[in-house]
Amino acid sequence: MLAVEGLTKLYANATDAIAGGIRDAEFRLEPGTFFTLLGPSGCGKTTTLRCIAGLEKPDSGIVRLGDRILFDGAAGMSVPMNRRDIGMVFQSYAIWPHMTVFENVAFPLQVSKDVRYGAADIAARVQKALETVNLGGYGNRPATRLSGGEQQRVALARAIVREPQLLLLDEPLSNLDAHLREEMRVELKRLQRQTGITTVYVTHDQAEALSMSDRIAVIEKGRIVQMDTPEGIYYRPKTRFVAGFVGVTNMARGTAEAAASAGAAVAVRIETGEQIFCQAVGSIGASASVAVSIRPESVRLEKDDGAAPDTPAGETVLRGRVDQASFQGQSRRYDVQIAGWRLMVLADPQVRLSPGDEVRVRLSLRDTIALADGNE
Amino acid sequence: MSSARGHVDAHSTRWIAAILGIIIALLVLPPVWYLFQGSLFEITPTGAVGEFTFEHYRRLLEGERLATSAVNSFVFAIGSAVVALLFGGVLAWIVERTNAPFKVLAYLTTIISLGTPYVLYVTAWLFLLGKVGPVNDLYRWLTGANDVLINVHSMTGMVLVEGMLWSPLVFLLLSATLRTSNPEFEEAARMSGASVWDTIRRITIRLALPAVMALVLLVFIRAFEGFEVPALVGLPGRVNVLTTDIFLALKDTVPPDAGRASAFSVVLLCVVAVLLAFYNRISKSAERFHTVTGKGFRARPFDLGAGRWIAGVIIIANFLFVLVLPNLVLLWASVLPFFQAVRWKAVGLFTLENYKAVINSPFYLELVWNTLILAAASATIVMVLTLVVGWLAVRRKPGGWLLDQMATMPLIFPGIVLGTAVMQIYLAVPIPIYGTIWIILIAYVIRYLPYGMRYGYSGMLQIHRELEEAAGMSGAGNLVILRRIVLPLLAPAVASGWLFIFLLASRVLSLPILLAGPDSQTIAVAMYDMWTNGQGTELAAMGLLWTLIMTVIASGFYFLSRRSGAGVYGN
Amino acid sequence: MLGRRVFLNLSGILLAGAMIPSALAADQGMIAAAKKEGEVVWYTTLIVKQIVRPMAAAFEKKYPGIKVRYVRANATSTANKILNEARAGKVAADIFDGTSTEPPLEKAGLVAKYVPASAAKYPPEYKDPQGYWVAGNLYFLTPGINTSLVKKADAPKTYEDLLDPKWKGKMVWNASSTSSGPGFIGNVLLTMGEQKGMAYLEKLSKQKIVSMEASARKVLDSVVAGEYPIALQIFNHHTVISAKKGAPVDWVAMQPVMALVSTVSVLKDAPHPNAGRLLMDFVLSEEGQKIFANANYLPAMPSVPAKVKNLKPEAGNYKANVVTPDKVATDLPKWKAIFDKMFR
Repeated sequence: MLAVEGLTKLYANATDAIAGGIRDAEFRLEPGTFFTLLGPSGCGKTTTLRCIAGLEKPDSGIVRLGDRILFDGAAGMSVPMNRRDIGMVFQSYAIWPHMTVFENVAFPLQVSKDVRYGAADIAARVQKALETVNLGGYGNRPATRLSGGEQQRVALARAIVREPQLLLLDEPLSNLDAHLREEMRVELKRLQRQTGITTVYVTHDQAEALSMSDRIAVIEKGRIVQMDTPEGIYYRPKTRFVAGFVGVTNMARGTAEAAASAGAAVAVRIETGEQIFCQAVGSIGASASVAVSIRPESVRLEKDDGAAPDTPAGETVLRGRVDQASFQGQSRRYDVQIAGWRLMVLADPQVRLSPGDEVRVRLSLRDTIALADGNE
Repeated sequence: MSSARGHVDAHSTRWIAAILGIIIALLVLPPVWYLFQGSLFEITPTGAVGEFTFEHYRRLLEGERLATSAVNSFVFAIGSAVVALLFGGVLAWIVERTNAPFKVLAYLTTIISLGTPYVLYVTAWLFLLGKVGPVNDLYRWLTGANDVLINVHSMTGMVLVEGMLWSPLVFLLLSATLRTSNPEFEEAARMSGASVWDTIRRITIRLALPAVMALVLLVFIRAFEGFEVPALVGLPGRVNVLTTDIFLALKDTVPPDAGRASAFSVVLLCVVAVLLAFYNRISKSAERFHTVTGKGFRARPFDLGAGRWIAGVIIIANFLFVLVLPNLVLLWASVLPFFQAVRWKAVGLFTLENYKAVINSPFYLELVWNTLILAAASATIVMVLTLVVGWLAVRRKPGGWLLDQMATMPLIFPGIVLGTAVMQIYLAVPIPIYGTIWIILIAYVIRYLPYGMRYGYSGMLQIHRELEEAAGMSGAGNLVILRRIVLPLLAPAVASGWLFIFLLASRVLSLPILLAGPDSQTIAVAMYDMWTNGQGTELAAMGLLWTLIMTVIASGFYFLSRRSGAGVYGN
Repeated sequence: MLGRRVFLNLSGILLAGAMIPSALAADQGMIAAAKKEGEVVWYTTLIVKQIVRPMAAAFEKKYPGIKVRYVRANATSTANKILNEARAGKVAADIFDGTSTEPPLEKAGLVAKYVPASAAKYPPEYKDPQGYWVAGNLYFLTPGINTSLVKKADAPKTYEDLLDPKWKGKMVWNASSTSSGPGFIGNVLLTMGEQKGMAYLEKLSKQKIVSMEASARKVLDSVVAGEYPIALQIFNHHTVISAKKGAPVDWVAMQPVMALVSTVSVLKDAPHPNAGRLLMDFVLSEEGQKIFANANYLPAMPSVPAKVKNLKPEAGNYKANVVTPDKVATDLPKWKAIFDKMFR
């Protein structure tokens, strides 16, 4: 179990203004969780990771792993990084070029102070770790003769060979090409499930985060703004930032027509005049200004035959005209003009419309979210 | 139309390459020829080439002189490399990788020492470590002994002074290596459970090893072919090395024993050539290990805890030893009529006579003039030549490879060997430049061609060829491309290369000492003469004033090179 | 012998008397020609600070428009430099001096014969019978001591005293040329004779004398600075010059003292032949000799006394052994060989 409480580490720039870092990070992970810190570059996610690792010294807060306290700012205690029992994969992999694959992976066992490993034991464990990452038989290869993907696997093997309580991964896929990255995503997830090591993963790629994680923390400007399952993050973003950063969304500003509690339905009049039924995220006051987020793939389009549409309770139906249409392989993208509003829609490729077609636009209550504007 | 233009351009490029080829060949090939000739033929006192003979080599092998000097050369070079590495290397690690205080002092020391002529530096150290210098004085005062802690005119003294001389360069090169290397290698080791010591021992040192080995070899080569320290520190203590043997054969024998000097030179040349080949191989493998991180994360310095104050003391000690003490002792000497131990009663002797003599004598003004003109002219000529050669070589124009090889070849010449060779050439050919500033200029140009290449070539590599191709597609010819596109883009590299050569040329002693005539003395040669004929205190005054000028120029070099990012070759 | 000396002296006086008008006339023509040449290049072994600069300044003042350029080096380097330049067909120097510079250059046929009018005032051992050189100043090579480290009374006074074990490793000398170890050896051999001399040197070699590759002036400076208590074979007038500035240094008249003459000559292919001769005239004139004396050097002209009179043997009441450049030229290699064998 990893618990982080009130973790703060701020950097000052030359003029003493705050220039990055993390404030009051707080989370608790059950054993075996794949946890992702997601956010744009410079948001503080790597700082958080390095604080857990012990590579940075936090300004304040508590880091606990299992029943051990790794860091306690108030008590002034900090376990040195080499005694934390944490495995880590670096962005550049940091495979030592002067060693073979075997030597790289064996290193953590050789330098271990807490547990002494015999040579035979080391060989067996390294062998096992290499097999886990599908690199059995690579042991004698010099580190300089490895491809990017192989280096990545060696780095993983090195990080897990001690069977640490925690595995930290710092943007491990960012240096791989697109095809390999897809493959490694699946591989990493499999490996994590196989070993069952609690894992903290840092990335700025929302697709990676969504596909691999059990839980995601989205960080914006040094603060965790939302922590949830991938589905929760995607479908129930708490702020405009999360909605915009994770996936693609249509965003509109408007005013709530009535007060609503969290999760309740609320009618919102958007700036261009349309009334839209939304699900409230957090409680919303009457006449409060809100932001409406609509995922493009949740919108349904149908040809407008002029007949009066059926309108199930809570569903919004609007009329518009297709302005542009483009085929994207897995989907078709339509840009629909609704009075003064422009809506992006990702539809099933089977739905075929042409520019100029009059359409009905259906928005389901479940996928249409109203965010109080305070949750910027 | 366009094919005609292309034809004309290929033609003009070929012409440029041919003309450059002739110039560079005339510069670099005759010295080699004359050295071999001088060592294999009888040369009469009038300069006529006599019979083929192995006599000069036979004389070399006779007696123990060659063996002793060769062994001394090796010991001296190895010792200096180790000392320089210890001082410069530890300092570089502290400054780049730890949270020690006072880091700025390390840079200050380096900048100023870049501009100090070695002769002056060496004399400062001779004052410092001399029998009555402050170091031995302090030792006697502390222990009550009446002998010395260190006899500077010994191998130990030579190694110490030469090592100190090179430590700023080691610091500069190694800190650049550390700065650009990937900190994640060390962090990965720490995260794998390794202690700080284990990390340094098993990762930092091992990873830096190729770079460090290359650096050690560089200092080794430089010390091996060095002249200043062997001449000023070694000769008085009768510790002879190969370079001083050459010098003595030409300067201490009447008439000069050119055959012996040439034979010695050929031996030295061969050794240096082999060492350089080694150096190239090592430094190539050093680059291979040089993985750069994708992330702009600045390496978090090692937290040394209370140890950071010890590291701070090391930085201050370096500042004191390399910069403050030598300059202080020069200052002390410069206000005395003759050197005295640092004692209160010597204060009564204080005088500004030395400064007055330096400022009032037109001789010194002439020295400054000669030195600056030589340095500026050689830097300009070298940079112009190597800029074009670099362009031809990087763009694989016809002849480019050959020109590159020829321009790099003079690296094998130790200064004193090149001086010997150039002297013999211009004694033999009927071009009346012996004893003038021109012969020194030619020697400088030959000597610094490889350094210019280093800047010109690596600068060129950074310019994407599409920039030139775009100019070509816009209708520009080769010369126009060179002038309008390449030159402006290369300006920073060229400027720092120019300044680097300027600095080297303004302080070199081993080249002009054999070539300087009455009208072509340089500062370094005059300093050497002053030291050996007992004008040490006047030398101190002149040296301090000169250092002041050169420090300004050296700071210019330092900031330019930081901006252009060109590496330093050493020397 | 005596008769010849008297005759030479007499003829010198007679000659001088006869030559005065023509010499003056020649001077006028020479001065004009020298001024046209505009400068004179002097390769010197003298110490720049002490003697070259004042000499050049006085000369330039007397003959405005003629600039004195000088290059200082030891005798060996100076000779080599001129040999090289001659080989390159470009002799840069007009006039040179030194204790052992002249013979190799004369042998190479580079030295011009020139006897200035003032040469008449010099005794024969101070000028070349063939007219290649005249002595400009004299050197007396003696031990020098640091008076804060060694009291004058305790200083070694005889050659035997130098063998005292208490001086082991405390003595220093220069390693090359005549104002040096080899010169010291030469003096011992010339005055004690081969057999006795070699026996003495054998004992002296046990004393671990420190050799410095630097001029005798520099060797003395190390004694002034207190690095060594005793220097051997240094120039006695240097001690007086330094002592005047407050340096704790003195000399010992260890007899017989070796006396060397520093000769002045002009070169055959000198670029400024008239200016060169004019400078040589000046250096050897009473005026020039007085500059030597003023700088506490020892003028060769007998009529010009040393500033500190006892520096010269006559007034200092010590015996000197004059060694001429030719003797030096023939014997120095031998002395050097002994030095290299026994003292290196």
